[in-house]
Amino acid sequence: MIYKILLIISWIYVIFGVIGIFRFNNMYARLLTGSKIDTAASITIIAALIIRAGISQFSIKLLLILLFLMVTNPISNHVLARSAYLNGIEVKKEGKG
Amino acid sequence: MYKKKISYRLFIVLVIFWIMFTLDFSMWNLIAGVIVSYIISRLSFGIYYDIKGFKIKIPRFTVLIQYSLRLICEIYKASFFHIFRIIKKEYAPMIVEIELSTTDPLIITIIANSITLTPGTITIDSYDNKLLVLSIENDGEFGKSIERNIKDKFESILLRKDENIVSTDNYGPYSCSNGNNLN
Repeated sequence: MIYKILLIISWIYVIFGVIGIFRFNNMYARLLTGSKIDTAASITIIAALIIRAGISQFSIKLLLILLFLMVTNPISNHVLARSAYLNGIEVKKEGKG
Repeated sequence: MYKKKISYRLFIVLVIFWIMFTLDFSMWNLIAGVIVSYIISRLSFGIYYDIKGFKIKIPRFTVLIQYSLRLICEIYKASFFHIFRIIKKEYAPMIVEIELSTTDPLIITIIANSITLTPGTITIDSYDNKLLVLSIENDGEFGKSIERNIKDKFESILLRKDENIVSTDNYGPYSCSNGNNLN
């Protein structure tokens, strides 16, 4: 039951993340919204899978994957934001919806 | 010229991780794990540890657990706020410069990673103990409240003075002086 709730929460994160990417016009705002799916949704999905698997070898692997995901996930977003910033893309609101 | 020394602690940790990931106790798998762990330990000389011992100081395990729980709470809290932002279509990205109290590269890297993990903020760059943070929300105080939040929520846990830091160095505390973070 709990894992189903967690999966539904992760869907909500993914759906709102996708909506946000289309709704925002600014490149940085889109990037920040995309990073939400990367982190919150993926952590919730793996947590749901751990609960579904119970105490087993599979959950230990999932826990380790979650650990590595939390360490390595931010790097892609950081690299994208950094390259955009260094290439001179302005950080300001670009027009209205 | 130093002769390359292998760190047995690192080697054992790597073998344990290999076994945990594969969960296969057959002889060939264990031999492969030992060989790979040995090569990685050997190649880490000069990067992760040197002749004096480990180059970085790792926070205590209990502190890391406490920090992870706080981080997950912050991620979920920020995610919900971000959903409201998407619904209301409110965004005003700004770049804030945050000066941290610490100069330890490991702690700066952990904080920078945590900032990027939290929805609504991304670390763009770092130099010395300063971080350039991209925030989706303009706080109206030129980033003061963002800086306060990061210091209170993340830095304060890791920096409860040096008693929380475990020196992995066999020859006493030794901090990395030439560590590059994020770049």
